[in-house]
Amino acid sequence: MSISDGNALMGQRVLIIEDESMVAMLIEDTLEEMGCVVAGLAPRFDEALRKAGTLVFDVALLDVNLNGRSSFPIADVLIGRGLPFVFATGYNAGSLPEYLRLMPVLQKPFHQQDLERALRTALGVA
Amino acid sequence: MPANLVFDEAQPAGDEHQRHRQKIARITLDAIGQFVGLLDADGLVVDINQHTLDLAGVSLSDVEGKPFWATPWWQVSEAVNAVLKDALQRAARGECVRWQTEIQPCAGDSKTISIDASLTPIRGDDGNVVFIAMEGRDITEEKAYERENARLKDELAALKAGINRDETAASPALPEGAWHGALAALRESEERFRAFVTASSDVVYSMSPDWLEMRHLDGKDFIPTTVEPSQTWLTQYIHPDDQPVVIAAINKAISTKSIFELEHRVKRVDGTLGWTFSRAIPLLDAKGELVEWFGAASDVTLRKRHEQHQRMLLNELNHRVKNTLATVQSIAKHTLRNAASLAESREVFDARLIALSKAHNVLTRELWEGAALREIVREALAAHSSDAGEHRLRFEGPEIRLQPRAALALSMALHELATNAIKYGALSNEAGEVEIRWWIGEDLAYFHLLWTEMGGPPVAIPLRRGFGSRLIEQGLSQDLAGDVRLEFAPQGVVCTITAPLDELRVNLEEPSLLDVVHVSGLEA
Repeated sequence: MSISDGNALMGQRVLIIEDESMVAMLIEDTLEEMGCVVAGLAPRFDEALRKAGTLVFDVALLDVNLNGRSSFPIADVLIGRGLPFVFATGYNAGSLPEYLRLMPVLQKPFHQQDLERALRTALGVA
Repeated sequence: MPANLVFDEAQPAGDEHQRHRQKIARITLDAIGQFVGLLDADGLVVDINQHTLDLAGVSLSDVEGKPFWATPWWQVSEAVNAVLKDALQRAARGECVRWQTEIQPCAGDSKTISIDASLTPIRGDDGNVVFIAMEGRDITEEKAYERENARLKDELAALKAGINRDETAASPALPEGAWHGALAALRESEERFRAFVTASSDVVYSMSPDWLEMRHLDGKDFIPTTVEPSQTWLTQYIHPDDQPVVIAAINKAISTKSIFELEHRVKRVDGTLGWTFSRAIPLLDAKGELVEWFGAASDVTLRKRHEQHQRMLLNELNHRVKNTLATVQSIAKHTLRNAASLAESREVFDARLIALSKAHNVLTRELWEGAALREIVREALAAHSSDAGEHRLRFEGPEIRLQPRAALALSMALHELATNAIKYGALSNEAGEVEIRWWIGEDLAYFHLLWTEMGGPPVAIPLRRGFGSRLIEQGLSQDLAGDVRLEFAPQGVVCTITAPLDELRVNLEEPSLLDVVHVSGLEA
């Protein structure tokens, strides 16, 4: 990782929306290693919907499936606020609705570089 | 155009109406993609459809007058033959007989197919059985789907258990499509044709040359019957979403004067949507102009439902597997980061993976609908109680059905607590004990669990909180939406868990995955 790459994500505040606690911990630690700040953690749909609509953060990492529930309504809230996000999923991108297919997707399990790349794409930073 | 579309020369000349009906009968039968035959009351072959003959490489004269059970198709086994003979005897006595059996469609090829066979007696004017109509529908595909489905469910269960099965269970190749053959000349009267149509489970219909008018449709029990000519058949039978594709297929068939063939959704007798495989053949006059279309449509709803079910199961399986892999990734990352040596990290990693796998086993046994708390506790402690002696690890509490997520989280947390107890806590000496007690609060809204260690060496507060502590405090509290406290009291470690019962207990009203798949059926 070059210095300029590191700077791009340094201090970015990330909301993690993920229902599996161990996966959430993995994401949390990986983000911190990359210099990001975890702005919040929401494992449940209702809480995620609320935090997506009110919390202050720069980018969200959004699990497509929250305990069997689709997280697309949360994506809509984020789009409404103009906040970028990355989908995290075990499914392939084809399972996303048409209008969400342009969003960066992080396939689980993931490489740290893939998480970095997805976040940079979402944030529109080099 | 198949030879059987040529007028039967044996017909008495001049009876234009009769000839026309004959022609309709033959062409309609032509469109029924099934295995059809006509036998006399002794079970001797009178007629068999051309496609069936072609497959066996015989002509009608080879089998005509022979006992039906002596024909090539039935030489699968003595048992199959015996059942057929018995069925023929029953049909000869006037009984309608239906059964599922294996037949050999091709001569000299031992490959068999499954058919749903039926025999329908046809009575003469005196009321005696004079003919037996034989009909067989190829259900090999349905059977294969049933097997494939059962296999997928097993696979799902196995993968949930974290067990990677080898490739030997690869998907069996699905058989070729159903037989769609032309029917051989049907010599007898229209009544016999009716008997065939009745014996067939297919829907039979006729359409005007431009398909604007449906002249007749016998819907069986599948879709509503249309007796009078109808110009509203499209809206009556076809869902608006599917109308464009149906119309496109019709236009193509009309413009090329060739067979219409399409799998599409259709409104069923009960108003719900089903799937049909529909096939219609154009009837041309001497100038080659379209006169009428004759079609047959079979109910493929079950197969479609199986396909959708399979897709959903596969998606769900993929989702769970990927999440489990990400969980393993998390365990690996944290275990490697916190370990003092490679040897230690390997040991700790193995133990965590096995703990995760055991919790999966419990859940798999219960089809991932839930897990009994006692079993989860027993499994989580089993490996450790053998080190420590059973009496030193005691647990007590009411039985509770846990949601899968809660079951996994508790398993991992108990594993970490037990590991710590054996390394540093009450189970690290000869005398200490661990007591696990759980109960439901008086308000019936909260679950409480208390892990208490006693009699061990004095406890020192760890300098650094490892992944184990984090799994317990952060992971468990998150997964249970509750409060988890881990105290390193000098007399022994105490862990207190408080969580809303709703977050942890199986909600009986919430449908399981399989219910969801079942209910959503066609609309999925």
